[in-house]
Amino acid sequence: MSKSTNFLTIGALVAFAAANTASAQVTQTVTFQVTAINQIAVSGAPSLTINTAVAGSAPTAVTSAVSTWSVTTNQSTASITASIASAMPAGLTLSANLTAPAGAASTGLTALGTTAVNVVTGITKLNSAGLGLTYQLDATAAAGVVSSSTRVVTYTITGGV
Amino acid sequence: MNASASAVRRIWRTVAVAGLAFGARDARAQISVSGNPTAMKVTAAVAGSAPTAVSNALTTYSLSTNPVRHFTVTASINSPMPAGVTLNITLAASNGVSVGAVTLSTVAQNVVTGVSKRMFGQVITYTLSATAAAGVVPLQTRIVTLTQINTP
Repeated sequence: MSKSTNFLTIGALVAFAAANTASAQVTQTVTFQVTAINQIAVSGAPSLTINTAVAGSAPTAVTSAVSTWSVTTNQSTASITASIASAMPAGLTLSANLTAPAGAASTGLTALGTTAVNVVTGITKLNSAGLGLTYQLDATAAAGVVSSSTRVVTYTITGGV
Repeated sequence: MNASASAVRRIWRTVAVAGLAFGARDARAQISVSGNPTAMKVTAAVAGSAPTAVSNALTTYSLSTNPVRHFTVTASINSPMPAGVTLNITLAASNGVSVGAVTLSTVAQNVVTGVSKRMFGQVITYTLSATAAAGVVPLQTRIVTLTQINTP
């Protein structure tokens, strides 16, 4: 084989090898964002009936623990407030007790009124589901007989930064 | 030099020139994209669950030349994602094997392998997800580099 033939053969091999390692690139610019997210949900339909008492004491309070609540927030130090749409009948008290998620604090059993009150504070960047939610109904003897009634309890997640 | 030797030389020359032309053609191997995806924003969640991931499948890529044997496509980003935020990419591949969803990082990873011939208009799917712990992440960008490599 002549020198020129060798040269061309090597050239072909080099070109083939180059082709085997050749690469090409292209780019895309991806734009993204995570906005403030605050979500709360409750489940369950609690029903409370006071129908007994220990003689000499006020009517016996009743509780319902069939409800749960869930929360997602990507902010810090958020709080949960609770309120009812209309005032309770005189002598009746409806209270709620929410179990706090990790790192947060519950205010414990808290009486509900038309003014929102904190029930959980210090919720920071978490998602937690199936947390305990207990309602309690108290009545004084002076409340008398109260016909069946409902109250809508509104929970609001607020104050995260 | 006799006629036979001359003929052999002409054959080798032809092979060499063909090889050069073949190599040169594939050295021009091209990968292209249809544009940039629109901004992806994580804005919602189901209470109790992590923020809801969002996807964008509105851009495509094309490999406009045939491989010598096969093409592989790799993907990487120019800087790490914020803590708790994940950007996944999935490339469709009608003439190759899609690796499926790949979490993008600054290290190039295979996203498509074994491409046997050119292909056009293949869908690129991006998925942005975030944990609650990621917090609020301001608008920002990452440059995704897709690299087409000849492989055995």
